[in-house]
Amino acid sequence: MHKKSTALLAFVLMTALVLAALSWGGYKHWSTQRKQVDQTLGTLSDMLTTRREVITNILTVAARHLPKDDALIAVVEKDKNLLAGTQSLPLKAAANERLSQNAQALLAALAKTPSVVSDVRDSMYVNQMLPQALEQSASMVQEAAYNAQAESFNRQIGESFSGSLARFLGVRPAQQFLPDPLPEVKP
Amino acid sequence: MKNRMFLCVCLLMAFVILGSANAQEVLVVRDSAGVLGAATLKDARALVSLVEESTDITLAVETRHFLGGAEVSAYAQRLLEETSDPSNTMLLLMVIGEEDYALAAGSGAAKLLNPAARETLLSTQFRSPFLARDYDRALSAFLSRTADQLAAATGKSIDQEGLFGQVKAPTPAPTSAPQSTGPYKRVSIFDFNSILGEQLKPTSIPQTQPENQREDKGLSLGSIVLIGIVLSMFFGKKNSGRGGCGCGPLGWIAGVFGASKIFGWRR
Repeated sequence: MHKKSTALLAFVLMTALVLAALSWGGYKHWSTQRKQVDQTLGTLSDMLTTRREVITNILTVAARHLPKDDALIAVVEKDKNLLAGTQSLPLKAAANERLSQNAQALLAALAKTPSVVSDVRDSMYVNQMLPQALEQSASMVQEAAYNAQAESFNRQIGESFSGSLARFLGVRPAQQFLPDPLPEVKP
Repeated sequence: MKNRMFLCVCLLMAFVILGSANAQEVLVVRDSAGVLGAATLKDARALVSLVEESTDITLAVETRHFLGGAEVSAYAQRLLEETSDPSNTMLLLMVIGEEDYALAAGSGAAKLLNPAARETLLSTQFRSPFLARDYDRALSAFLSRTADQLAAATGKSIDQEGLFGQVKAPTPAPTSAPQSTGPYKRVSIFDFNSILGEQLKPTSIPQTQPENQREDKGLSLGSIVLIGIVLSMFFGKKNSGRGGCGCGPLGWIAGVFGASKIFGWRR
């Protein structure tokens, strides 16, 4: 009887030790991985700053040729400010997507403005330089490594046993720079 | 002998490197926006050299299309601080697309030209042609008059004969601008940084883990051996009184190793 209880105690102790070792190892590993994903978030922030600067330049030219209360200017300005704020990544991603469309629409509207048509320099900005910069900044944001890293991290932490332990101990999946999916509209 | 030759080669290389670094520093008139004529650039650089030789003050010029929302005076000040000798430098920043400009001066330069004098120079020589988009005339008039005033302040003379003698006709637009009619040809390459406040630098994205970070592989070999020994101590046969080969824990170790594979404790 005594022998059996000692064996049981030893088994429980061993299992507890093994679990503790695995949990600690898993936590350490996945929190390090998470830190690396967060580091690439810095690169994405740099790209978003670049995007904001390009949008600011478009607004600078727009302010010379369109009325201050122009609806497109207001929308673009609002989304540009969203990129700078402390909003969640999905909100910023949605603002970034809207910016691509609205800033292009603003440039198209500017290109038709008589004052731009008659101004060689601003025509060059509106028809060549700024659209190209807008496109470049969009692809830079798209190609920022953050999303790939976050997606890979989330997949791996979800698939492994140590990942499950790490999640149990508080390592959260990384938030992706993607707009929230639109809610399904029921007919 | 060989050592001496090696030393000579090293010294020669050092001089070449230093020489090229200095040559880059001399180019203080930087037309990132591409709005200045070649003749203006050449004369501006020549005048900057003359001013530097006579007064020890460096005149620097930078043109940009946009600053991406950065404040022009603060940006000019930051550019000034990035020069090789900020205290003896005066930097003119021309922001073409924002129709704005700023003049930043280091402490040494400010002693020779006080803020009021600098403001007067800008308003009388620079502002009107700049806003009329005659950038060549704006720059040449500003540099020429500034050189005169710096020479007067230091008691030196600067011979400007032949410089800016033939200023180009007013240039209403950047040199790369297309005609206002007809389809626009797409500019394939432009200096992306000339429209940004913060210049983009190559970023390093951590792709691999540092070597000193251990990868998580569940149970390590050491842990398996230790667990095997502990298990054999508790559950192994009692060999007291009988001699054994001492390899009793090996079975337990192999067992733990197998169990760790089966249950995925070890990847």
